[in-house]
Amino acid sequence: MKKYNIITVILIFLTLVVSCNNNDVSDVKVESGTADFSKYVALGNSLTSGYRDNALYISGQRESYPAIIAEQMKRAGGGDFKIPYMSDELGGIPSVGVNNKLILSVVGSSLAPVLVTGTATTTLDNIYSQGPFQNLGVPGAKSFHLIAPGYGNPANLASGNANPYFVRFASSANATVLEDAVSQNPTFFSLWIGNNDVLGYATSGGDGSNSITATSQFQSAYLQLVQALVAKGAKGVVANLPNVTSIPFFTTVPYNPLTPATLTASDPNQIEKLNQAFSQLNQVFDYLNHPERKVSYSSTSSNPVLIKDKALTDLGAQITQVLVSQGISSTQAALYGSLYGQSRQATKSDYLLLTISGVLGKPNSEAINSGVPAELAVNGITYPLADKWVLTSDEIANINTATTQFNSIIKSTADQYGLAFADVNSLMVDLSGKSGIIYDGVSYTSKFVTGGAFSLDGVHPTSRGYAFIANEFIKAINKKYLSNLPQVNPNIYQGITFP
Amino acid sequence: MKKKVLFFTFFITTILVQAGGFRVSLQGVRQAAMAHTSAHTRDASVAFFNPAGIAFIPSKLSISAGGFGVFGKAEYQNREILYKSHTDNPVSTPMAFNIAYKATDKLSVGFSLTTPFGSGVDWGRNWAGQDLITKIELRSFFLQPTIAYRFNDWFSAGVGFIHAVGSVNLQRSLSAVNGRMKLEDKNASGNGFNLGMYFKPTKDLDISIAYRSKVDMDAVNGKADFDLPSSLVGTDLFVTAHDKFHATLPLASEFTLGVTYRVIPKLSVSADWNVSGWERYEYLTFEFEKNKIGNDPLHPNISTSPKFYKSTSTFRVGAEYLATDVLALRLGYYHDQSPVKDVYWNPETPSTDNNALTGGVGYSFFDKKLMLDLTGIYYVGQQRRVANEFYNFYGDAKLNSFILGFGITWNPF
Repeated sequence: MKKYNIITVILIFLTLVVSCNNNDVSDVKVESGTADFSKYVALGNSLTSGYRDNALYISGQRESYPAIIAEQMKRAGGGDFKIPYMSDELGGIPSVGVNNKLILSVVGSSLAPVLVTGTATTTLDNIYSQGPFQNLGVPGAKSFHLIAPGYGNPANLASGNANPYFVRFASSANATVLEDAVSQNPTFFSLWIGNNDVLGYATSGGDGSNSITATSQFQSAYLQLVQALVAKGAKGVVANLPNVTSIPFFTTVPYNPLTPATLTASDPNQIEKLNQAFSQLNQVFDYLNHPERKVSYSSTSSNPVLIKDKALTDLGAQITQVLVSQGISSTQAALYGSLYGQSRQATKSDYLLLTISGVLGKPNSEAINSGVPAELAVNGITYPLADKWVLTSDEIANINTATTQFNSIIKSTADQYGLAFADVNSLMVDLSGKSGIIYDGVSYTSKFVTGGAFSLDGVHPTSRGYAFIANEFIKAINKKYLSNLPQVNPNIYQGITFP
Repeated sequence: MKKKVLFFTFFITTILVQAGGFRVSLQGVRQAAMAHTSAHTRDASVAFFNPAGIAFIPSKLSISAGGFGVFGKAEYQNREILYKSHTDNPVSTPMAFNIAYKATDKLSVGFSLTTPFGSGVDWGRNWAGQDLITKIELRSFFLQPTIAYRFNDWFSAGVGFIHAVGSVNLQRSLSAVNGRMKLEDKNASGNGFNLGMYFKPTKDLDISIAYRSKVDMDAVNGKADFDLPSSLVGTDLFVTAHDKFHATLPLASEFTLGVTYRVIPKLSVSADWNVSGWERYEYLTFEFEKNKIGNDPLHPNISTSPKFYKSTSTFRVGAEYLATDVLALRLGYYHDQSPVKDVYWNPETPSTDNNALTGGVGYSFFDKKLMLDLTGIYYVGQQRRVANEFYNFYGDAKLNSFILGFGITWNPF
């Protein structure tokens, strides 16, 4: 009787133990599904090349998102993935004035990105003989550059129609990036292009020196790229564009960085003096029925910077006129008119560029040299910041409109040609959210430096950020082609390096 | 011999994880062989299970000591990245020492020293969950002076005061800054009590009802050491590389109902039902003195991790068969529920639902004045899929361990 009980108990127990199905991951076979990963090429810009910390250098290239994806593809029939490596870890190209990478360094008492010292060894010598290369990401490339003949021709560098990075690995002087991709007969491609079509405008503050690509031009370039890539039956993945205004380059310096403490750092009465100095001008603005243009500095809360907004009606002549009628000398009045005719204090809807930290609150030597008195030439306080430092709400609207249009082109092209679609824009939205993204207990946000996802240039991700992007691509590929490429753990890649 | 065992166990870390959070049910070697059931009054070890039980010990003086070796391993895998990892835990050594003495015919006093809570988990420094935990050592000793009163031949009541002392050592990575953190407190302490009633309505039936209160272990003056890139020391976040912390770790209450029934003189069968009070464990909060590395937006020096344990039940059934006058054979089975929910599962306490098969032998000498017990337990966790949203930590977890126990009991007179 008892024996049977014991036997029963043991049997039940053993059943329980055995029924623990392990589903061991070591037994998982990685499959390519309906795709063929044997020859994978990646097209794109700096983001595709692995550019980070404001430079392209070996370890960044090694951890680019296409390199990460290619590594995973190797488990399902993927082949070699050649990368046009730079010559060193510095990333500079001295012969064409390309700077070295940034590193974090202790400056005074705080950490700041600084150019790494050292003489970079990368030249423009063509390295195609070691190719053909599968990572065809070219830093700086816009959509139409990938189909531009001569984009790798050193003779075109001076005119700005060639790109030093492509000059290094183009198959011939007149080959296009697209041709160099198609000639390899890829079975699979990734295409993430269009960022610079908007970003160039954004990082130049929308000052006109670098305009947004026309939608029609983007569309025809994009179609040409996709059609050529799928012509021989290759499968592929395309990605959309994150909204550039979510990157640290535009979100780090607030519109109101001027705390009372910084304003009074060298002179305790500075704020009163400023308000005193602007009082006459403010009366003029009142008189001209433009009270929104008045400038005042608070001694209790953080103050917005003074900017020049080219969208504003130019009140210069009127200001000068009123001041002259009040008995101010005509030279002085003309100066006020020219300085503050289109000036206003920044608002929440204005974005200041990350690079402004270097000039804000400092005397503008150019202005001083042209005769502006020093007290009126303090950048962002008495001297309105030039267009190139600021994205105003109008300029943001231009960016948003273009991004939305480009993204809808990318999505509809992906759908039309049956390609996988990676929604990198959503990823960036999550990252810029209040709590960011957490992975295995490590938090990532889009905060500059401390957020961990963006590198020291405030525009390009760290390799951990790129790993998240790679995962987004992998998920899209798996979804579309029923493959099961494993994702990667972003935490094991290079983040920010603190000295 | 006994002294040696004691000495040894004091200096070695305690305990792998068991299902009930970090409750380790290994307080009696003989009991453990019978699924760790409670209604046994052979010797002083009943003091932990039920303070009232010491009034029914057959001898005037009883001294009982035991120690265990736990060889355990937890495994983790992540299907998304096809990744596997497992712990490399130190052998942990829970122990128990109990003494009971009949001061008068009715009144018994006793003292119990046990290690009912603890864990020792070492995942290594470079695994996927390193920012949650790399290594944890949690030790506790329950010191319990006990008094019991036997009202008549079939009923006694008892109470014990618990003073718990312990230490915690918790290490994890700070991958965001390529650093590491170690939290250590060697002097955590807390208090509680243990109440019980013991019934022997017939000579063949024992009924044990006991309630052990919660104990809040306070780590008041913990050391927090940070291993960081030098440029970060002295910044807003990391004011100092050697900070202090304060934390409170709750050790759950437990209600136990146990019975033992002698089916025939040679065979007794025992069963237990334990209910744990783990639901009290809602958050684990570390408050740092200077460093602002918390995750609480309002208090940057407070780091809180949600636990939200649930109270659980454990069912135990065991038997003892007297093969000869001096040789006892024991067997048992129990099922442990994990108090940890999938969405709060954390590798610092890699908890699963478990099945345990227990067995052992006992041998007695000198007309039962001296008894030796040997116990073996095979402890198998059921693989579970975990999805901790707070840390975005997903995967499968399972654990298993093998436990050996050796005990010696002396009932001289």
